[in-house]
Amino acid sequence: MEDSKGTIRKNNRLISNLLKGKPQQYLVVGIIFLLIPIINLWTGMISFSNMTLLNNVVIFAIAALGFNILLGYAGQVSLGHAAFMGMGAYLSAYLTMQLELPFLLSLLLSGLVPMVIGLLLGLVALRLASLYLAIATLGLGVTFQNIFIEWTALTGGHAGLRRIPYPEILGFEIRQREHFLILSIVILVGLAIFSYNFLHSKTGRALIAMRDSEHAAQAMGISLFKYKLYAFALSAFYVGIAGSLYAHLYRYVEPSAWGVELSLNLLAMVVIGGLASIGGSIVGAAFIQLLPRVMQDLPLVGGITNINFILTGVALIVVIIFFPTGLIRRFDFLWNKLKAKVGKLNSKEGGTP
Amino acid sequence: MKYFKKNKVVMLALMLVFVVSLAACQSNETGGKDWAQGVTEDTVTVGTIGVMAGPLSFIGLPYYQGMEAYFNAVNDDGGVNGRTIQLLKEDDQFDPAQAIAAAEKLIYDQKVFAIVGQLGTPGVMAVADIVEEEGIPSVYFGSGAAELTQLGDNFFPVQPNYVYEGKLMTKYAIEEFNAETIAILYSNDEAGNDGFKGVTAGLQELGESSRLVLQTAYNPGDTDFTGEMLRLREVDPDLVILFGLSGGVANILANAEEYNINVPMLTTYSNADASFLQLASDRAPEAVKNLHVMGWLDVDEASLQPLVDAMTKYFPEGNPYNAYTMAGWVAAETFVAGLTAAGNDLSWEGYINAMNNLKFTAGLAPEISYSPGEREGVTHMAVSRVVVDPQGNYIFEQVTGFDEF
Amino acid sequence: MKILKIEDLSISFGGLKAVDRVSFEVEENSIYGLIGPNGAGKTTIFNCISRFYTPDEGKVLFTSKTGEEINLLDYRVEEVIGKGLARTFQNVELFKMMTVLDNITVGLHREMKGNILFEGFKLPMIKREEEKAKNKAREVMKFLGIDGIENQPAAAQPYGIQKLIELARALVSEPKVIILDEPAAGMNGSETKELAKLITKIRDHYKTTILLVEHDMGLVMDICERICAINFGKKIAEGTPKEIQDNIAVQEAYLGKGDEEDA
Repeated sequence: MEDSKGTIRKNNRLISNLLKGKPQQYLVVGIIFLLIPIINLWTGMISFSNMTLLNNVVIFAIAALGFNILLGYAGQVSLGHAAFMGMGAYLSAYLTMQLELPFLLSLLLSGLVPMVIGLLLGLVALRLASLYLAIATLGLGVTFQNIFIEWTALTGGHAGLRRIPYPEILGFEIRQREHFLILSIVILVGLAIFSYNFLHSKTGRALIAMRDSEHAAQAMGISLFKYKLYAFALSAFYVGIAGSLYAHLYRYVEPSAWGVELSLNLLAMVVIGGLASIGGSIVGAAFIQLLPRVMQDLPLVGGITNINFILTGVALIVVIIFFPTGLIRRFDFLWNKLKAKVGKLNSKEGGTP
Repeated sequence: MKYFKKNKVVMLALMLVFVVSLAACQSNETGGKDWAQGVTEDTVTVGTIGVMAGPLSFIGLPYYQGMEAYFNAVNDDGGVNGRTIQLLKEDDQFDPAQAIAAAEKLIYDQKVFAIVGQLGTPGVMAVADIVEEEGIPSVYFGSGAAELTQLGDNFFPVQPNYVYEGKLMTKYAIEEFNAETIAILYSNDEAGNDGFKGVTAGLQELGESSRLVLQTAYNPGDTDFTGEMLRLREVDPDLVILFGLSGGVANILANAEEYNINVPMLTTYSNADASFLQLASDRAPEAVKNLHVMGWLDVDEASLQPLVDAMTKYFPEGNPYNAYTMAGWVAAETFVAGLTAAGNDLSWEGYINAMNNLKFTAGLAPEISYSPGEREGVTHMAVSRVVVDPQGNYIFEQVTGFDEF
Repeated sequence: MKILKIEDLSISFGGLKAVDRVSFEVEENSIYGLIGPNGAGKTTIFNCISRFYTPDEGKVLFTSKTGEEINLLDYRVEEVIGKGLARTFQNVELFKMMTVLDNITVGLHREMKGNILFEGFKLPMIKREEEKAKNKAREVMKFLGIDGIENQPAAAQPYGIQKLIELARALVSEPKVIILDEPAAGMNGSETKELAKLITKIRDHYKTTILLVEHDMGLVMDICERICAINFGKKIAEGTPKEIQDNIAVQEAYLGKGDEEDA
């Protein structure tokens, strides 16, 4: 029966099947966002510095995703994760400049090395209860920042590392911001899908179980220590990768970037965006990175110094009070309402399955 | 299965997208004019990056007032070869990442002709790669980083760098202070480390390395210098070089006051500023009288008049006698000197050529000149001493002429 | 065969002896009850068995899934379920942020194969394991009569259903012994009767052994084949329901020494 209603029904089914399952959604959304840099290559509508900003958003989305695994899913607080991002940045710079390793290999190692260090640190730190863990990680963050300053042979100390090479993949040098954005979106989508997959399997359930009820988790055979360690190490991996991308985007790394500010920003991103949510990590990263820029351009508030700190603080408070589950869940709620309304309209035409 | 097929389609689309985007390489071409970007018939647009508000605004505020005052004065006078100068300012809040973002905005989006007077070593170094790659002229740096002299012909440092200053200090130490024995306390950051490098290099070149009897590094945040003071008493040098920035040096002076250390001291030109002197004299009213400072600006009533006039006109609330105001003024006047000399040949090569042939003596610094491959900046410096004037105010008084190493 | 043997279990907290040389044995495939007034130490004994506490003295001999007799005290708390002993909690401890099905699936954690890399790349092996686990969970849900709510959030279920979900979670790994910590708490008379039937059904269908702590005497006397009574950390009686009911020490423990009779 090929009537118009039937076609609409079929198309609706096609779309909803296509979008069924989050990984597919991530892929589709990723492709849609890939259009932005591609179109910009032809039209150049978005300015250079805004392109850099978009890259920044994606890089921090990757970091926030990692941090969310630790805080949102496993329920562990770290106030020193900037250290891992810095590690990834310095390491990637060193590997590509001194050892002349190919970029993709450096990228991978910039995730793996912080992960191993995260594992070692976790062995010590994770025996502590949450408040003490927070303090310990705060201390670790400060320690590493000082290591970055002092270990001048590797990091160049205060002066930092300059002339970090452009990423090169299969002989193609990624010089343009648009190409870099494509690279980072692909990495983000890949990591998002990977995360979704393991978070909806045994490991993910173990992490959430650990967060929701330590006693029940243990009774069901979950080793708290092992999974805390997993979460710590895993989050270090993601954040290290983000660090590597950062280094190759700005091509300059120096110690002052990897301080408490950054660690707290990661916390803010994840809380504002939505704990235990992949989409939330991305939303939160976008919020924290874009808000100050937007505010700077506004007529009245733009002139106030340190507006970004004030705003981040205010935003954090507002979100915790009014949207404690994060912005993403607010969006979800509104989106579901919209879908319900659309669904009602469709059902008048013959229904969507 | 349908699901599987759809997945494949999606993957294929993704790969297609990737391939297509890789193929779409585009290079940016500027227009076909002979002029560089940022130049029109009657304007030249330049950009500057630095800290403008916040805790370090005590540097940035007067600095940019000085710079803008000069440009305003030039514009009111008809501009340079008929072109007015538009200054675009970007605040980087002393953060290198923001400096990079600002540089990208100025160079790629707003397409300025040159960067003038970028302020703050972290930002300057962060941006250096972009400036080097693009070849855009960058004139005057509010930074003492020595590398700036080696980065290329489009870099025009003016302020003496700390390594050079350290060297020159040793010359003065021997010739002016007649110091048989020299001690140096330097801060454990770029400025201090560079200064220390310069001092040891200078002594070595003069064959007088044996005169250095004490060398200690300190952390910029330290407040207790008991150990150093005791060592100084022990060693009793003829001259103590304090190579660090204001806060740390003020702390050292306070300790010297407490321990009654009474020996001539010499510090870097970065501290040749009224606000530092205020801070130091408050905390060490006696010890500060032993303090000498290097300086590279030749200022007297006559040479300062244009600056005073301009500031009175455009920034009456500002202070023309502030060292940072003067620095900003020098940045602007150096740039304009090159612009004037370049005439209508306003490509980047044209500007660089003009600067290479420049010998600018009409400004606040005794002489600014460059030659191809040589980018040392100002090389003549003089020593000033802290004195108390009849009204009881602490001021700097120049005691030597301008000399170079 | 005695599947679970508690020998001279003792534990003190800050000088106070909470459990004092308690011993009892549980016959395989039986329903065994542990009773006593509030604060007698029953839950403490449970926590020792399930390794949330480490007793000062004693042994917990358990014939594990593999048939080997082990001392549970040699193992950590998260290893216990793997050996074949599962438990529920007095205050239902579900994983609030998960669906009902996921909650129950966690019960199979120890058995499921796979690691994070395989999971991340969604290898076919992972899919198979998930399906296998989920189907087992569904079976248990059907058995307990709570099928149909698998994708609902566990936290949104009524209390009675939550207790069943937790039961399912303990059952799904087909343990040799299940410890139920006050399963009838918060239930009324008819619900308790249903529970009694259910426990018996579980024992019969899964061929498992059930050890329960309970205050509801009706339930205990109804379904337990043997009972151990505890008071002030010491065992005061052990035997069949009838024997326990007739035991003077038990009566005293519950009712107090009724010597003074003031008219």
